[in-house]
Amino acid sequence: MSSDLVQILEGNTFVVSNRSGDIEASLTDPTGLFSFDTRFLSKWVLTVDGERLNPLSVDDLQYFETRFFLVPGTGTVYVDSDLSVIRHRTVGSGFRESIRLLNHKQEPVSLTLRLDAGSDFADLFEVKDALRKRGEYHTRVDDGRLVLGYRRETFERETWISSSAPSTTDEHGLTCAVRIPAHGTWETAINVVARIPYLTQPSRPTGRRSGRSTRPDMARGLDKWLSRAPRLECGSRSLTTTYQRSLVDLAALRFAPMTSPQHALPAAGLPWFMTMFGRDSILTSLQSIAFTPELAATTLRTLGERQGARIDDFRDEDPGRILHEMRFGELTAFEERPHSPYYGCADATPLYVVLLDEYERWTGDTKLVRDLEVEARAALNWIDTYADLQGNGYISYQRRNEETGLENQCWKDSWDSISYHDGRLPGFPRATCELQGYAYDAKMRGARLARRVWRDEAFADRLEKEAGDLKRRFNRDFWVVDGEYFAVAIDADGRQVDSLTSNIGHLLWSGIVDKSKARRVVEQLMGDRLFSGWGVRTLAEGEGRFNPIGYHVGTVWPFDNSFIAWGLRRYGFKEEAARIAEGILDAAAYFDGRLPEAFGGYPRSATKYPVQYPTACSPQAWSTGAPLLLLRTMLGLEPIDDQLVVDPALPIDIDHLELLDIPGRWGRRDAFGRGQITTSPRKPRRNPNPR
Amino acid sequence: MATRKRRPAPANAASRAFFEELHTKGHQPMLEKASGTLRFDLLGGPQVEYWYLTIARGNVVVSQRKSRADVVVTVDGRLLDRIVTGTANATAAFLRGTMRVEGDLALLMAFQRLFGGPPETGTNRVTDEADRSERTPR
Repeated sequence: MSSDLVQILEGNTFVVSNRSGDIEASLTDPTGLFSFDTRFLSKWVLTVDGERLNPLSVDDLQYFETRFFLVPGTGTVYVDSDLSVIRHRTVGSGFRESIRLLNHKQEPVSLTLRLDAGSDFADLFEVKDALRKRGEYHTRVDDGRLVLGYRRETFERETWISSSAPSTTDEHGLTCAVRIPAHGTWETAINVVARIPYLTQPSRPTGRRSGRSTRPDMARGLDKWLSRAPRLECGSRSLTTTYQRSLVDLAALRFAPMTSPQHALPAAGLPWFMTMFGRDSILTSLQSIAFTPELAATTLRTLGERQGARIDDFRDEDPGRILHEMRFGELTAFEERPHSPYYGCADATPLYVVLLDEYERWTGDTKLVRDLEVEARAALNWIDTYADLQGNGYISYQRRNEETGLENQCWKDSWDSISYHDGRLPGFPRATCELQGYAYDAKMRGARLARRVWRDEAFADRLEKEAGDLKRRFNRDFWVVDGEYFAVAIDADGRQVDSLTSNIGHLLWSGIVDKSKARRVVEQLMGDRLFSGWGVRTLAEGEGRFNPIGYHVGTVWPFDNSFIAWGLRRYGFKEEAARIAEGILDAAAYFDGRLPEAFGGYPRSATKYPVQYPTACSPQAWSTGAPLLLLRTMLGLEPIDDQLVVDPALPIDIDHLELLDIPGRWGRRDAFGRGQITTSPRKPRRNPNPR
Repeated sequence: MATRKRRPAPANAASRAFFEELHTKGHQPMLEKASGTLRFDLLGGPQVEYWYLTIARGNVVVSQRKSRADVVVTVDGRLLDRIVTGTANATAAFLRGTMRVEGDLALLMAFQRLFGGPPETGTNRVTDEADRSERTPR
């Protein structure tokens, strides 16, 4: 997305506009008011006496509100206007826009203010793919209110627009005749409601209300969120900034499911991915568990509610499978897209069990573990049955929806992400290595829950036995003897897909790596082929498809690295974990604390600064979660029995680090550490002022 | 509808069978956390047909006698026939507005797991169901 665009949001409602606050959607300019994956305004243009307005400044007050300072006229070098216009926009289930005109003249003025409005009611998928609408549009003026509508059979969406100040309404917008005294002001409040008659329920006391456009408690909610999170004190200003940024962005990324509007889980990314994603919601919940464990609880409950229950090829659904992505738009409603929800994802199901166990270890909330026993057992069962496509005891994936399903159902989901050393692509099914790690971890953690909470010793024994067996086979079948690393996958013929990738870091996190092989894996991760100086590349230099700016074939992903650092700590490689934490957190400083989804895999010594990979979506939830997980790994936070164990290993540049009031089964606890780890001598001196 | 034509095939048959089977089965492990009453209002027949499903601790009691409901689902009987047999999808129908829901959505969400999957096409399945169920987990 162009950086000239301004975006604000609340839940899955968001507005993307230009810097004047105007919306004029086109194929290349995906602006608009969006809610529940539908565009409710594709045109929203403010003029005064027929003239467009020019931005002097834009204040991003909060993630849900912006203020635009404007003057009439465009394109002049300096502005000498006797009229100022302030648009103050707040998102709710629609948006509210207060428009103030300030007359700087010594005499009264008469003006015509006009707001042109229109909507194409495009589905988000249509915005991306430029598809044609099948339904019909209607427009009406209803008691001074402009109603834009779209209908396809019973599918209905409407935009209601009204003004507090007297206005004349026609089918293309509102006009106000304005008279302002000398040095006076005039103001109106415009209310825009994104109306879905049967999805949003006005009668529910705790639910979203369709007639209300803003939530007055949003600002207070954000303050409360920030004050509840642990406090960070440290010698590094950039780390403090990154931490604060992460907390605010995580607040913005919260998404309340329709089934429990008072709770929130992390959506995948802002603004286009403000919906439930199994993988993203789970991994972000894992990253943030030491800070905001309530996100994990909602993630577990909500994904559990929507766990697969039947075999459905169109949705790639199986019993026990955790969903990949949920959407609410027209194409999903008419089953032209499978996202109701879509299940084509091979990692979310084992990761669901991993999160459930990690959550209990931190919070001691055994009630949730008991509540979700059926779901957890179904997830564990999925691993051995529906996911074992090849009958070889490994999780594999191959889509059954050939038209609109996903080819790669692991986190590296682009078409060329999984390749042999020589660059060829394997056929399907594919059993990628990290999936086997997650399966191992899910079984081990499932066994712990079975023993401690479900009181099913026999099930626990069985899971541990299966896990042990899986580990043995995995270390034999995936180990590339020549290169001494784990293959990225096993192909349909049982052969190793032998490229060197960051996936081996996730294997450390899962604990599936034999102790005797761990050191060699760490050497690979920290060697020049994978480690760029900022972080571990998705694909190693020297592989056939390596490209330092290829999406999953050479870039560095902060989220990926945060789990790799966790894995390094799990096997006792504190210094290496600290080096990764330092590289990624250094990079964050170049982005004002907001890590992008990925950055270029160029050697750090060559570029001096991290080259951002251009993506449509920022902040991304698991990039936002990365600094949180890195803080956890640097401090060595680990819940053991009822205690929080702290075992810090900080890079020397950080000097000291305190994390206060860490929530958990121990109540609240503080953690403290001093920087002692000297990182690589090759590391160039840090630029004190990166921008 | 301008003219009354031949009576359509008996509507609600599959839905009725589904409700009655639920009543006979009684216990549903998938509903152990859910509790409350769902009301299905089946449209499309000469009069609206009401079904009440009361869930407590995984037990389902089905009745047509009027009572309080936590969630009301209004749907054409023929569509519900297709939903319970898996040829139509409940969530998509809800998003489309052909199945209207008022009240506790979470209760319906828990309940919808009992709806069937689409009849197997077998077009693209890697292994078939029989093969799967025979395989012992490793």
